[in-house]
Formats: sequence, C-alpha cells, structure tokens
Amino acid sequence: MVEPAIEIQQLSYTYSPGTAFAAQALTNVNLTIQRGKVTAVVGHTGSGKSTLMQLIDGLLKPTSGSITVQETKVTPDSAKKDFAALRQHVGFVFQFPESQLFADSVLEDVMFGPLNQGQSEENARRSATDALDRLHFPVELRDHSPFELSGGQMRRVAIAGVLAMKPAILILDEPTAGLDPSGRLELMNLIQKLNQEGTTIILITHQMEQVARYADVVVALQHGQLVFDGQPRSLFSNQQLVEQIGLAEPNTVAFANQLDQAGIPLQQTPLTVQELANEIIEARQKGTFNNE
Amino acid sequence: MAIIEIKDLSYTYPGEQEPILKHLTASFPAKEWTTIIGRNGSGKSTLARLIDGLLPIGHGQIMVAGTPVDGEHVDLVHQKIGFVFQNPENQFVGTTVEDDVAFGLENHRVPRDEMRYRIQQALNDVSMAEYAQTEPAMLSGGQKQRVAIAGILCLRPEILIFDEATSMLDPQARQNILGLLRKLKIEKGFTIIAISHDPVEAAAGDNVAILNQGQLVAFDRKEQILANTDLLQKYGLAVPFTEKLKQQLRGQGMQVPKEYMTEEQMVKWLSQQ
Repeated sequence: MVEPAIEIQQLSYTYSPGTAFAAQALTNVNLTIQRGKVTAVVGHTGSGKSTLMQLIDGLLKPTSGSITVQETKVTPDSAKKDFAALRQHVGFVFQFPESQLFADSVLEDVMFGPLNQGQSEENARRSATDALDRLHFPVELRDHSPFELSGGQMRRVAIAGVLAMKPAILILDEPTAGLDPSGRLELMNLIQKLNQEGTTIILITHQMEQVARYADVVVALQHGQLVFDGQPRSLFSNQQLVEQIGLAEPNTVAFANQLDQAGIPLQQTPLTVQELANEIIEARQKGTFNNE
Repeated sequence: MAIIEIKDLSYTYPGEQEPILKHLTASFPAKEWTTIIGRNGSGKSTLARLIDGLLPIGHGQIMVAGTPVDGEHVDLVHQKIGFVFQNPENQFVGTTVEDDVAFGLENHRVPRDEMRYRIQQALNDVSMAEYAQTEPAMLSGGQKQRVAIAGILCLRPEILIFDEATSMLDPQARQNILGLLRKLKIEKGFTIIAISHDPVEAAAGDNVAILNQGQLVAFDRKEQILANTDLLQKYGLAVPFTEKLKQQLRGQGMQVPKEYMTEEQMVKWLSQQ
C-alpha cells in the first residue's frame, strides 16, 4: 500500500510571469512522494529540481496546480499561513548548510529552529538534545563553538538544527558535497537511520552511486518535466533513458555495461558492488564467459 | 630526478596551536604526475600553497627546480608553477574567454603578437578554441575549468598544481579534464601535482602520496598504493571501485590478481577468465 507523504498535482511554476523574463521552471508535474521512503531527486542543473523542492517547502507559490503535505494543501490562491503550515512538516537542509551556523555554542545553534517555532526554552533544549543524540553528536562538544568543529561535524550540527523542528519529511540537497569519503559514509548511514526511524527522506543528489545504494524511489526531472518516477534499478537498466536525461551511470552499472560489451552479459542491473560480484560469479558458473 | 624537494617542512596557521604540517620531507619526480591524497584537514592544500609560495614557510625548506621558495624568489617560483584552484568561478576576470586567458599574460608584459599566438595555442590545447569570444559565465563547470587551465598554460609553467580542481565537476566533465591533463603531461612534459581525496583522480596519475595529520605516511607508484586497501582505509580514504569489486570476488572464492587494475583492465581480465 502506497501511503503518500506528499501529493503533487498538475504543478507548474513560472519565474517572473507576465514579464519579458518569464521562465517556465516546472510544467505539469504529477507526483506522489511515498511516506517512510527515501526518494532521490535527480536531473541536470536547471532541470527544475530546486524549484520543486522550494515549492514543497512552501518557499514558492505554485503558478498552477497543488501540493498536499499531510492535511495541508496549497494552491496559487492559498494564504501565507498555509505555506507556513507546509513548512511545519518539511525540513530543508540546504547545500553546505554549515555556512548558516551562527550561534556561540552547538546547542544554542540547534535550539534556534525550535525556539523560532514557538517552543519554550525547556522544550527547545529537549528537541535540540534529542536531535543531537539522534545524530550521535558527542555530548562533550555541545558547549563548544560550532566554528571549532571539523567540516563533517559542522554539517551534522546544521542537520540537527533542522531535525530539532521535528519535520516528518526531510529534504537534503547534496548533503555529502565537500565531505571526505569517511565523512560521506558516516552521514549517509545517519540519513539511512533517520529513515528507518520513520522520517521520509528526499535526497537531491548528483551522485548516482548514492541513488543506487540508498534510494527506494528515484524521480528524474528534465527541462521542468517529470521524466522518470520509479525504482532505481528500472531507471539504470534503461541505458538509453539515462543517457537521454543526461545522468551518469552508477559505477556498478557502467561496469556491467562494459562487461556486456566484452561479451559477458549479466542477469540483472547491479546496484551495489556486492550485487555486481554475485552477478559475475553467476555468469561464470553458467559459462556465459567466453561464449563465442 | 626530483623537481620539487621538501625538507623538514612544518607549518602552523597564525593563531593555531597545532601545526598543520609536521616535519615533512618529500621529493616529487620531474615530468610525472603525483596525486597527494588525504582526509580533510590532513594538510594537503596547505602543502600545495607552501610549494607555490602562497604561504610563508614556517620551518624547513622547499626547492622548486633548483630555486628556493622564499620571499626573495617568489616571482621566479610563480613563473615555474601554474596553480589551478577548486572553483574557477572565483578566478574569472575577463568579459570573453579570450580576454580572460589574456589577463595573466598582460600581467607578465608579453608582447601583443606573442600574446595572440599563446592564447590561441592554449585554447587549442584545452579544446576551447571555438569559445574564444564566449562570455565565461555562459560556460559549464568543466569548460570553465578548461579556460582556467588555458590561462595558466599560456604562462608556460613547468609545474602544474591542481587543488581539488575536479571536485566540483560532474563525473563526465571530471573524466574529460583528467584526460586533458594526461595528454598535456605527455605532450608537453609537465610535472603535475594534484591534490584530491578521490582515488579516481589518483588513478589518472603516476604516483600517490598520502598525507595524514600533517605527515607523509606513504609515497609510491599508484599501482602499489591503490591496490593497498588496508592502507587507504587506515587513513580514511576511499577504496577504488575495482579494488572493492576484487575484494567481493575474492570473498566469493574467485582468484583475482593482486595488482591494481583500471576498470578497462579489469573488464579485459574478466573476459579472459
């Protein structure tokens, strides 16, 4: 049973409508984001994915169509408070979120969001502590200035600041950009854990390995239109479509395609290195190697 | 033969307690491509800046092609080294690609005819000749990085330093730039020093140096280092894709060669099994 977290119907968005600079960023998008899943959003720069995310977060007003998050529905005619209500459900972690840290201590920084939501000092502190706990942020660093931390730690503080507002849906825009490999792995494991604990995740990413490994569903946009909505495996099995949208292949898929060209076809499109190894072993046992 | 010699180099940023580089000694072979890899904060960018004289040396000595890197010789060092940064956007000054490439030459008082020739040649070398009249803002990330490289090539340096120069690019653009560097190294005999935390980038070069907490912990041919997964993991670095695959295959009882293989080599090897 597909349970919607977000329902998007016939959504279009035009920047500067009615002027010489009018630019249609999204055209008639129909999409259901499923509750409790990890949905990856992919597409080129300028494909409309940022616009779509800003609409979901209530930062932009639709030109036409509607967005429904939980019981809140917004349309072009909705009032300001409806957009604010949308934002209550959605937490948005922008790219390089650590650039927005500002407070004297980690804890104060994370408390800022909940205080802004109108939580009492005591509740805000509890929300902030919970969020830092969920991200395994070391207790002894919580009174430190966020600016004394490593890049990976700063990013976790910034994410905790969004989590502390207890959004049911978390949008992350390129969350691992600029982190080193161990920082990247650590953060993706945390995101996976948040998802297992019930948070719906929307992951905007250029890294197809992340899509292959972590996403339940992948949504692809091109020129403001939805061009794919389905499972990562079915996207990456369609080499022609992947190329047409201008996406890279995850390295496991690229490798499988190279094998195929070398006369070693695999049974299914591998999304992880382990799957790829299994497929290779299987192909070998079946004797599809050197089958000329 | 070494073109860059570093002896007992230490550096501490002003206001910091802990040195970022600690008694580092290394030499970089001429006309080879050495990739310096390490976690964030390992000191790799600091090292690149010290080599180019962009930071004052705290303790120790650096020689670049026989010239000591110090206040007195910094101009000479800058002539020998071309430095490409992570984000080319911050480096554009011209209104057209051609103007932008010309900027460095104007600063070096190169005669006008010579300038025209060098610009054309540099844009040819990076396959951007047809964009000479384009506004830099209209280019893709990979094209911008090519223009930045052209701006440096026409100054005719001996050594190119790339500081995470492909990290902002998409995978295809990154492969194209790495291919370009390989071509330039072979055709023009450049020495290349690349700073990265990406093993894909290291695989494009000849040697790999690993920095950890301000110290050089490994320096060897890339084949040796990239196949040493224990070493890479120990220092928090990513393991190349082919090595991960070899590990999995080995785990399933398949005999795989110890040597590092590129993806192409691995496909070829598998097809011969």
